[in-house]
Amino acid sequence: MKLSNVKLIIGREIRDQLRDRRTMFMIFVLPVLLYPLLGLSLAQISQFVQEQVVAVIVVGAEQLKDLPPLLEDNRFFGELFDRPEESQQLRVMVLAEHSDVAQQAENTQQSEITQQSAEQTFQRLQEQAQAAVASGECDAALLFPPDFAQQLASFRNWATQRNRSGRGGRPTGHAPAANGAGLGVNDAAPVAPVADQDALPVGSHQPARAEATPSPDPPAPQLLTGASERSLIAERRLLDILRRWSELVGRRNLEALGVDPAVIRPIAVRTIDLADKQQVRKAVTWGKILPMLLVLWAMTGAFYPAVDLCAGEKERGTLETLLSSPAQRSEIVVGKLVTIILFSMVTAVLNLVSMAITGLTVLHQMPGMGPPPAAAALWLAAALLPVSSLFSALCLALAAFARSTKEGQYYLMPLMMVSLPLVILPFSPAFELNLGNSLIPVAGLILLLRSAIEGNYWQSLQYLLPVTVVTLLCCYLSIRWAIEQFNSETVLFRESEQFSIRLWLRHLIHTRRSLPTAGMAIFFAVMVLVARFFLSAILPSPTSSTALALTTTAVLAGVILAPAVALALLVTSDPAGTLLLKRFRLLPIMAAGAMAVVLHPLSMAAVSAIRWLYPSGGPITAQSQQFAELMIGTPLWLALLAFVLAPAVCEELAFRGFVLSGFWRPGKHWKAIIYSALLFGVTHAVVQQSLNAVLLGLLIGYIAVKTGSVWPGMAFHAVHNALKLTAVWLPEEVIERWPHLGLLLSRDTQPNYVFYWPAVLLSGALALGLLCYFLRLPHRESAETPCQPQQDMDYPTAIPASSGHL
Amino acid sequence: MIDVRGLTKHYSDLRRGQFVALCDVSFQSWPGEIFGLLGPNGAGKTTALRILSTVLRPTAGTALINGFDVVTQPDQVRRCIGFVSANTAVYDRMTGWEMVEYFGRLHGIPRSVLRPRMEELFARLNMHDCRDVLGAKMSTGMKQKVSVARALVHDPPVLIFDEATAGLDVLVARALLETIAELRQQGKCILYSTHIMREAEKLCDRIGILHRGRILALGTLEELRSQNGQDDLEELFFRLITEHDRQSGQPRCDDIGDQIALSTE
Repeated sequence: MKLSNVKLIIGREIRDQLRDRRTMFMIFVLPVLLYPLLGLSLAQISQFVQEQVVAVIVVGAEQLKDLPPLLEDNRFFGELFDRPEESQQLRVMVLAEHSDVAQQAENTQQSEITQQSAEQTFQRLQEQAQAAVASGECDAALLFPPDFAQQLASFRNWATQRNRSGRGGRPTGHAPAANGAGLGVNDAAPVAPVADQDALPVGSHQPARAEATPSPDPPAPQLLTGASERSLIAERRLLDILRRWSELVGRRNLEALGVDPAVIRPIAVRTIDLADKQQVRKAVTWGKILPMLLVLWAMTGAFYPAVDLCAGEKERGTLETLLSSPAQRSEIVVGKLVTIILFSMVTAVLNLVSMAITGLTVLHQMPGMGPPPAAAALWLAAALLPVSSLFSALCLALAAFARSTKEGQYYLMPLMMVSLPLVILPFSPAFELNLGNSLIPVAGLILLLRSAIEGNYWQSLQYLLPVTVVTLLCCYLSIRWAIEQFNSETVLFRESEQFSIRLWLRHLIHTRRSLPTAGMAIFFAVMVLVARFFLSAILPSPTSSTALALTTTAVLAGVILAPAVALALLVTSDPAGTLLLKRFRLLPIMAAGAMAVVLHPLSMAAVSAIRWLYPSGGPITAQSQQFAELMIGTPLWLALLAFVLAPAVCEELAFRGFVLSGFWRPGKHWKAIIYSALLFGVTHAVVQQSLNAVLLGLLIGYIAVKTGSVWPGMAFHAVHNALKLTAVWLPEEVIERWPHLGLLLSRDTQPNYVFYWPAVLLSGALALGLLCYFLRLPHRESAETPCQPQQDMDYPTAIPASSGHL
Repeated sequence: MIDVRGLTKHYSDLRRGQFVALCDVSFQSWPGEIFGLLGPNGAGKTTALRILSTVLRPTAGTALINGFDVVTQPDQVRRCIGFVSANTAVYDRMTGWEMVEYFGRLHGIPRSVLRPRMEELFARLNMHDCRDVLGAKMSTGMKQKVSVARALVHDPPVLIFDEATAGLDVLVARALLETIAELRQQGKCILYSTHIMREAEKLCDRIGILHRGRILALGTLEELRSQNGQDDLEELFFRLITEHDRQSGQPRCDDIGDQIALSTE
């Protein structure tokens, strides 16, 4: 690779992009305008939330004359707010019956107005209030039933009587408020006064004595609200008012009982701030926002230039011009990649700077918000290059695959769908920076950034290495993929074709070769994943051992084995060769079985390590326990069939047969092994199982490639599963009966026993020894291989059945 | 020189299945000669020329450009060819001068040498009107001139033209053909593909007629005429194609799974 050529290409691409108005707008103009506009809009909205006056209807307020004030001069009482002037944010409309009826109620004695007429009046007013709220004439309605004051008086009288009779304990049988508002009336309700030394302290529980009268129902005002934003604001404010008013009522009740109201707050908490709470809160808020924005803007800033530089160049016809120049493919890729990285970084920087300026000038007006911490700039700058590189390489590879600019833009959505969960995951409170999470691409980097912005430098330093390694590895793989795209003729010169299922199937059958393609292998894995997902949702969880065994066997056979065999028959001309069934030699099979035995302690240690790295959640642990119990109850023959043989046969034929063959290329065996192992892991639902499956898949895949046969892998898998089964079945009595076993292992909850480290080390050493046997198996290319460099590298060649080894 | 032997290229196409674009194509071209590759649309001309310019890789066969193999020595091949095609476009956001300069520098020409050469080239091709015009605003003729200048800036010994006059008006096409003829006089080895008979008649020293990926006839114009008893190239061309389509006993390239079988009846 000539650096001069790379520099030339970078210079040309940058100049080309700078002359594109669309790119300039997206990268330079949009960020400068977007954030100030957003900030101003947010500031306006926040004012709306704070200052919007809402209208509230109040019914039955005349009953409240003898209670702590709720209303004063047709407004809510100022003392019920943090600041009295906030009462102006609620416009009160007192709804009462016609004045003559109200006058009559004043002039005549209460007893002369029957309960029935009061209820009828209330019902009419209630209907009016409901209509007003529904029509939007008012935003909420607060209704006090006609017997509200009476109920409150009854409640107070009951409490007084209990107090005088010397009963202790809290009132029981309180029903929640009718409107579910949770006013806390019961919490503020008076407890029995401490009249003598034998009485219980406030709040203590004591079963009510048999002769105590039950408490009357607490009075419950009704709160009517609609679905509009204003109604929600009104509801929130009214609930706050009623909560405070309820406290005042409760205090008065206590005073009436001769109890100091202070007894309901026996504990006063004094907080001592070790740091500026406001600054810490801002750091936490910005620590969540800024890394996410960095990733999103880096991705967006990379995508459009990538599409223009690759798919657009293809579409305009200049790519062929460039390919016929002295510039090598790798130089072209690197040149374009560096250009895209630069634009990605500039986009991210401009957006973040614009946001910072907006924060300084606009957001500080909002409560709890303000500019980000100054140190955040340093951490973001450090993360900028790796984030931009990763997404630039990904975008370049995707854009190279597209035939046109239009098609390239369609690929943005899948990229967002894959990336957004990784970006959003760190927002979950349960998702913290630890070793396991730091190994997740993108999400780990965001967590690390967040930790640094919040000022947790020691924690950030601890996980800097794993995050860096994972990010760099992803960058490297993405760049490799991009280079492969540029080396693929079918990608560079793909033409538009009308998609027809009939044509596609006919093409598939007529052009089938001895091995499947990588696309077929991926298609199969995705099909398995989707089928398992839907089956897990549809099928009921097995409740018996037999059901578990039969379900497991049926799923393995129907979802994994059957599609693999069907695809091998349909799309390949050599199904037996595809599934690696042709070679059956006893020695490799026995060696693989022995490998499973000696590797068992190391395997169990790996399982423990994975569980430590990614601890299982409660539901998964419970389900695992349930399955383990069911497995214990399974008859031996059924257990061997369902948990030993079926997985070994079905999964090996599928993943080390069909999938491995799909990725196999001459001289690129490791790629096939790694990809088949990854897909094998992905099809397991639980993360812990997936990781374990990937590790085993690598080993079994290697054995399959070296032996050219799936049979040793089946033997390994079967023996491995059988030994895992003993972990479930191994009773304590066996360890007690064979005390020598106690030198090797001990009982544990998960995975039921663990090996001591000397046993693990010995296991590793023995496994290495057996691995040497497989390493020394001869690897000879077939007679067809020398012609392969001239063939189209997109088509796999057959793994010849005549040669016993690959 | 250009030495092509047994060149074969397969594609996989959804509609056509395994499609043979080139089957056992062989020809040679020498310095100071214009070899014409004549054939209808879809004959395989562009595929052959893309292989020679290292944009595509052959499925089988060999091709040597100035002694360098297109598969194993693509870098050396690209340094000694200039490739002009109807498919090779100009950059929309570069001027003519910038584009020629860009490719000149990719060929490793120092600035001190490149600038005077470009001045001479622009003068010879009468390109002053497109010197500072962006590619998007150029006419077809201007674009083709820029493509030719780009292909000539590094003074390659081998030149490949793939339907270079496509879309050009008569005047511009004639000027281009005259330029190509001048390049022959300078001793360049020129491979010129076209489907226009008159161009082949006027320009080419030797002609290879390509149809459905196969060479049907090869030789000078006089040789082809005498072999086929036909003076008019167009009639000769039609006769060959018609006979080929009807003929039996010709080698047939069949794709059988992973192998290519040459069979005769």
